[in-house]
Amino acid sequence: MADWVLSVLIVSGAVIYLRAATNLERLEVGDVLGPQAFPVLIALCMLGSGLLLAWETWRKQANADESAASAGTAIPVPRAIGHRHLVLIAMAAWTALYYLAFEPVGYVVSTVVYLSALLLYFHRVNPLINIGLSAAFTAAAYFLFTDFLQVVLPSGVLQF
Amino acid sequence: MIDSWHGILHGLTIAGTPINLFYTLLGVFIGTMISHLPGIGPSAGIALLIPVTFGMNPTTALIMLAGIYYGCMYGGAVTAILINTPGDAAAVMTTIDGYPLARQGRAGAALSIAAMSSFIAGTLGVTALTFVAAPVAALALDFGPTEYFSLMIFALSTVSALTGESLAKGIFSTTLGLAISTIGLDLQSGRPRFTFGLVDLQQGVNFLAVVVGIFALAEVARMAEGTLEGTMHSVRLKGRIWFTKADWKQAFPAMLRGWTVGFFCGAAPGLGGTISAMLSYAAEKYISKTPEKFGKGAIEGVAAPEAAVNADSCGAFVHLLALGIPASGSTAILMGAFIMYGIQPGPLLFQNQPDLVWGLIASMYVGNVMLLVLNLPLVGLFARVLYAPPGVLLVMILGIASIGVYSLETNPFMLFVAHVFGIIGYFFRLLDIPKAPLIFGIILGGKIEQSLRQAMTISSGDATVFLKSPLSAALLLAAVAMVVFSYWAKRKSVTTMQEASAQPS
Repeated sequence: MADWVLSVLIVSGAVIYLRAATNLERLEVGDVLGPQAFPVLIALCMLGSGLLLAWETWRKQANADESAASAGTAIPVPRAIGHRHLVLIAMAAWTALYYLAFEPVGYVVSTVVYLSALLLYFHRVNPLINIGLSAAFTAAAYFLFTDFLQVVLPSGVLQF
Repeated sequence: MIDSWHGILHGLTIAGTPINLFYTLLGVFIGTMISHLPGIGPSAGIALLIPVTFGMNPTTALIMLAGIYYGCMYGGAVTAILINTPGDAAAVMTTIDGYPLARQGRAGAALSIAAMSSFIAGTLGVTALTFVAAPVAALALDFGPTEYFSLMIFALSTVSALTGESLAKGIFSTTLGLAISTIGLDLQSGRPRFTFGLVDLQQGVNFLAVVVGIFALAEVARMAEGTLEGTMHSVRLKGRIWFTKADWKQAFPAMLRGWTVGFFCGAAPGLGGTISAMLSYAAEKYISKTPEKFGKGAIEGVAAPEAAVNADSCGAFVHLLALGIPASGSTAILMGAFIMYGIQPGPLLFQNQPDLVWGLIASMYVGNVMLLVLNLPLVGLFARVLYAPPGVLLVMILGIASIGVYSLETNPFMLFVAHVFGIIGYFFRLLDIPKAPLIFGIILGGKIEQSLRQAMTISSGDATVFLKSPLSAALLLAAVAMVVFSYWAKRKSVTTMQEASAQPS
């Protein structure tokens, strides 16, 4: 089922990309191909890959049905969204929030808060140990990148 | 040949002075350390440290900067093997088999094989650089845009060897990478393409942000799932810390093959370490009697790309020193350092600056020995990273990846690029779509388009130009043969598996 959905998504994506490529402005001067030709070629190859995937999936499904029928076994049903998916979605949202806060809040504060929260969930020991780990990691990374590699990290609310 | 002998002996007296030995050691050490930080690749490492060399003797300064370059190439495998995060783009291929080996408790074997491959390939590479630099460079000069286009199409076709069960998914991954490479300003017309009005996308999508996202962040998601399900545990080293005799027997021929691929790729400007690693991996998988082991922890899958990457870095010096043409982003920055010191790399360099050029080449022999001595004893220490609880490890990977990506351009936009590709990487794993072809597409996309447009402009729009050049036609034919063979091989393996499962047990 997932591969059917994927093939539909690939074909749709390829059509959208093809349309965007053909809409690119063509200049009268310059090289003979212009900026559209290469993206159009890519779109056509992507379209082909989507159709090939549909064919591969159809063949695989036909073979699986045949094998399941001869062996008398049921085709496995995909699992529903569970706790782990919700945690992953929350992690992705928390990471996006961290990236949004990276410059306005500053590297040190945002990183200590971000890492501490993750450690409190994934490493269930004394919370003080987790906060200490986050602070130690952040301090080490900060000095390595600012003093040694001369990377300017945002100071944000700390202003140092 | 005699001149080369005299040159290298003279170079050894220069590289052997205490001050040059110290800066060689410092350079390779810094390079190794930098390569452990995802996002800070050799280009950024050299660029960041050029100001430190102001006021130094040019020979000593360039010896140190070159040391950083090949030190980076050497050490990129460490994070690739331990935490599935390539320290630099060229180490992408090492993750494929290195990380599964680490999860099987064989991180020490993978790390020590990577170190030995780097040493052997590096030493052979410098020897080749000493004696065959000029002829190899002259051969690569015969390539025009037509031949380059066909060569890169051939390189793309080898991607089919890197795909999993589905050829369609491999092609999709490649085309997605190519499509991503078209984002940014069009090089010929200067017009933005697919930038959605975002200024940050005008320079294109940063390759390293993609690599960190699709490998490191997606790996974090997998580790988080494993931690939640209770299937992810700390990995303890099993058996010997270093490789076994059987590992060596399997890895040594792969190292030599990887070296051959890597050196010739390095001598062809523009291909770079990542492509040589991919080609050597694909070649290894094709010729292997047990290709099914690749991706699950084949030691040859670590040895060949590591040898290729290090040989490539020596090959890249062929163009830089003999012709004054940088073969990659890192050697372009090194060339900038040469020019900053008032030295013009090129054929005249061997006549005008023999002390510098031979001292630099000789320092690479010394540097390779130093890298081996530095890295082999640390294998056990590095491997103990995996003793950390998975919950801590995944959070630390997120921390390192985030600061590494931000430091690429000190731009928070890069963080979001990595984040998006982390999500894409997660779905790629879920849907069994290979990641390597996507990376391949992103790297080659710009170069393929440039060669295609140049070739078509030169031929006034005549597409048969690709068939009129014998070399180009042969490469295109080989590309088609590669895809057909790959499809046939996949179908054959499926049929064999079906037949095997139908056998009564």
